[in-house]
Amino acid sequence: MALLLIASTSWAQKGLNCYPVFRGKVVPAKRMVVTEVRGESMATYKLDYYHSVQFQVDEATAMKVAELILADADAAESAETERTGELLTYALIQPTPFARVRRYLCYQARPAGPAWIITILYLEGSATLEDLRSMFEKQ
Amino acid sequence: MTDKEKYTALMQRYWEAETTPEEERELARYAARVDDPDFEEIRGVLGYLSIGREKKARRARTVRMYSFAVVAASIVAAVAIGLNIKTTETGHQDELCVRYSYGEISNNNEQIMSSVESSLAEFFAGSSIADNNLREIFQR
Repeated sequence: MALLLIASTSWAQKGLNCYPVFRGKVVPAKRMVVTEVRGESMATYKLDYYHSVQFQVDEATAMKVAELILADADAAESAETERTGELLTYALIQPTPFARVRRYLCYQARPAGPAWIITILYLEGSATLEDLRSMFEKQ
Repeated sequence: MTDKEKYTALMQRYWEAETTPEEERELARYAARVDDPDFEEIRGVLGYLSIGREKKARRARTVRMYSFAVVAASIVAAVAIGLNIKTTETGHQDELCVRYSYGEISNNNEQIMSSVESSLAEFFAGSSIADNNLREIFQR
């Protein structure tokens, strides 16, 4: 079933360096929480597609994932990043739009003892960064 | 290079998301015709995708066969009951709301959307990088 879930991934997402993470190629799918929402449910946020992964890994794996995210940040239209020591702990990346659809890649690494909990969101839709920020800052 | 070597290389490129749609179709055809456990996983994935394509093609054929008669009948029926005709199919075929959590599948829309909202809020709620820095420091 994991494969079925992962197989429905957006074509636009395939070009990203961090795509293998969503495919379970860096951390096995059975060790992740993968969420995928497409369609009307996302319209509230002016988004069409939401794909997230969350998993807990050791520092070496966290660094490997962070490298992929940084590669996407380097190639992106804009990116905000933040590090704690050597490790990338936060990133909000806007890859170049794909077929005029805006895309966002959000990354966070939080410490959990000696391990790291990593969350990555991939979003597609018409929402601008300002739209998304104004939607949530009121809450 | 044998067929198996060729398609194993192609399968590796598929997992790395480097294949073209044409190469994926070729790989799906090969995986479907060989009884090789090495291709079992890719057969499952590409088989799932081809079911989607087949459903779409079947739907298109059905629409072509009945298009004029069905549309005409629908218009008459809609006028008769005073309703507007809406094509409900568009948009719904792409609906998806699913969570795969450590081996367990969930389709609980309410729960999933609640977690989507929380995740989005975490990134877009307007906390500055300085706030995030402080949060990280206190979490350590």
